[in-house]
Amino acid sequence: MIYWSKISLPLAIASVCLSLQAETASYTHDISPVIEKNCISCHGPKKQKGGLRLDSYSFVLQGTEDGPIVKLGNAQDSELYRRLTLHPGDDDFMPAGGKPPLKAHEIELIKQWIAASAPEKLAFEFVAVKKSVLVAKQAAPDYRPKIKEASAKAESLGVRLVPRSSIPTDGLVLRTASNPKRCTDAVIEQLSSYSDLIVEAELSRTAVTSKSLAHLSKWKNLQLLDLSYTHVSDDYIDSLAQLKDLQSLNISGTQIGKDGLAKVNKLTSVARVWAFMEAPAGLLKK
Amino acid sequence: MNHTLNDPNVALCSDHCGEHPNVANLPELPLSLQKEWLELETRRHFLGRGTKALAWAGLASIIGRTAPHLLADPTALLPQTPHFAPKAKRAIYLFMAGAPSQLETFDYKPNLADQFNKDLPESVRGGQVLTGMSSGQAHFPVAPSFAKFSRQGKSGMWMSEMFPELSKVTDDLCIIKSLYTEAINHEPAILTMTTGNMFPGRPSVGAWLAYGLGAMNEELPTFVVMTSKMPQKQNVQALSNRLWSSGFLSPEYSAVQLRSGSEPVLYLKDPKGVTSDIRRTVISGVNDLNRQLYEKIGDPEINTRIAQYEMAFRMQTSVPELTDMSDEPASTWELYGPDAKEPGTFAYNCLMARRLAERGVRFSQIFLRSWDMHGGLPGSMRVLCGNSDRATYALMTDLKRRGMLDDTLVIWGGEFGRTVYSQGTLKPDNYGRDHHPRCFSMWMAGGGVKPGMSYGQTDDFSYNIVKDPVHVRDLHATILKLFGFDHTKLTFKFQGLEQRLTGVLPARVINDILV
Repeated sequence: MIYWSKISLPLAIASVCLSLQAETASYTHDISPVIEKNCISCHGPKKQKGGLRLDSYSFVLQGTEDGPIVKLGNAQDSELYRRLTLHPGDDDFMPAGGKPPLKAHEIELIKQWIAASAPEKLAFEFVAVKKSVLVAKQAAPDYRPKIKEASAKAESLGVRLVPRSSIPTDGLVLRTASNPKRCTDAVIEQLSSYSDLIVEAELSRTAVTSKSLAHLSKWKNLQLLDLSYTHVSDDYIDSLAQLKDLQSLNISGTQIGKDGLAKVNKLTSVARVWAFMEAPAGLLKK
Repeated sequence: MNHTLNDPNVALCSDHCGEHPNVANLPELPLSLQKEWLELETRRHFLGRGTKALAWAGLASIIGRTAPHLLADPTALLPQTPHFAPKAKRAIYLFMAGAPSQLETFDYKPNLADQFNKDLPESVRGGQVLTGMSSGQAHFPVAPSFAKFSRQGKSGMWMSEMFPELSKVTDDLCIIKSLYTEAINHEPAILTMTTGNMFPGRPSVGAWLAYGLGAMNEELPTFVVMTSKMPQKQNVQALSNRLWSSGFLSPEYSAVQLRSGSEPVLYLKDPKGVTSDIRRTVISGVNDLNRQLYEKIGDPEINTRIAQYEMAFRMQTSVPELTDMSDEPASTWELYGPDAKEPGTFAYNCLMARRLAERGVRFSQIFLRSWDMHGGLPGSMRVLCGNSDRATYALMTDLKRRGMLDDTLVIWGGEFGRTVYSQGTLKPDNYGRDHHPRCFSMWMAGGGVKPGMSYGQTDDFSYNIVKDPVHVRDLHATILKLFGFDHTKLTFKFQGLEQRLTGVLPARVINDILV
């Protein structure tokens, strides 16, 4: 079962505590370090003993020629778990060759992970609504002198910069929905020269990564930042603290983990944060 | 190619050559105005505007006003920009066609239990003309709601047991109990809700928004309509594309209908033996011919046609990606339930609406029919609410947890209300209700609407509005406001009028329900 940790706080609460106590283990945050430490020397890019690689999530699920080593939802019937829990003298015991066995808590983690259908990413829901009403922020500079240049530049990069309204101090919206994948870290970097005009960055499903956060954190008039379903991770996430006017932040479906989320939670100016994380498609359906 | 006013092609394409005063006789006109005149001269355009006199009025207005492209203000060059910063970027309109009864859904009247089978007081009816379906009745016996109500959420609003799932998001809803309309029959009433006017030919709300806002995603249509499979084939209203047409606006603003089944958009697939390259070549060729025609006669509809060909080509890629739901995680199916797997169901359409919203489609309208319950209301109500409750809740929850409800407006409602008196035989568990335009309930959520509140009030019989009436055009003015428009200024000149969604009668933005 996926446990949904749900936090929803009304009205002006300065800090939101995270509660992820019953959360499921995930490949990215829990299992991959264990495998890295114990298994990769024989089942990695260099060696694939028994035809098995374990250095990525898809390899782990793929298993060997004999079949999968993880049976979703059932640790006891999973070859991965079985081999780890055999008597150390058994021929099938892993790690083989007298290498040190896994620690009890590591085995327990793998058991829980398989029982929870082996999600790749953390699955939880985090909604922090600290203020019910967004406060109107100081306006951006008049966009009229630069709008033609800025929108032409954006268009040449495959994205759009459009005025939020006819009021010239309402700022520009960075819009990427027509072809989100064209919006890369390089595009964000190149648009930085117009950053003081941009009040909303709609970056959902784009190709941006944490690298862009270094630039975005200097877009000082940003009020809305939608990073959902991008590859943004914990790196540089705390740099968003520089955005004093940021009110709305969406990091759903990103690579951001517990540590990153804790940092996001410290962004005091942000009135609304969404972090809806779920296991990837095609996995739990099996 | 620049036309001179003596261009022989212009003379050839007009039926009215020589009959009207010659523009060339007028004081020197800027080139841009000459071009605009050329557009008016085009035969189809000319006929579209009715009479020669109107064409003259058009020219007069061109001369009378300063053309936008001549203004010094550079923002005037920006098409499709809201008047002020919008709260809502997109909307999902769940249209309950056939008119759900307000008495079993959102307008709780506990006192009616004591009125069972008593005649509706004449003073309440106030001599109102009734439809032919119940006007011949000797009596108008009051039918209390069979459905029970309870307080839900922190807001404590009264919610019907017909919506056990939706009740979980009570605090996100803004329930309006004081809607009213003039239309008493479905077609004109549905048209009034969708286009602001009971006569066909006006642009739908979605078309106005597409015209006013433009696309967020140019790979998909701005306005999409879906009709839902009916849980029961009774009380069915006909739907037609005049409900989602662009009326007198350019046809590119009308909705594209997403259908269930193997072809979500008709005629989008390449025929056998035609590759994407061949299709591209054909479209480019056709568009070149169309552009030549446009240069010759200047009819703006040709440009629309070119744009539509290009949109269709782009949709060959974007629609399969949109409709392939295999990338949905398990949590989606847990939320929407098994119905959502079957294309064309209301649940499937709700999920599709979320996918459309995610991809930047401005306006998705889902029609669910069979709410027209003249008889056997309790049974039908259970079926219809049962069919739609979970999906409606799922859509709300889905938008909420993904952080989309803040700027996505969700609208739920039908075209009018239903009578408190029973049409036909009345039993506690079986009765019918006739059409009732004087009051009905709707709800909105997200997109800048205040959550957890109800607005407006009806009398003890849910027959007349006693507080804060909301006409359909008030609702429309409010929706436009959420999208950043002053409804009096989102206009399109047609038949000599600056046409607008809210028409010429006064309309009021309901500021009390805005965040």
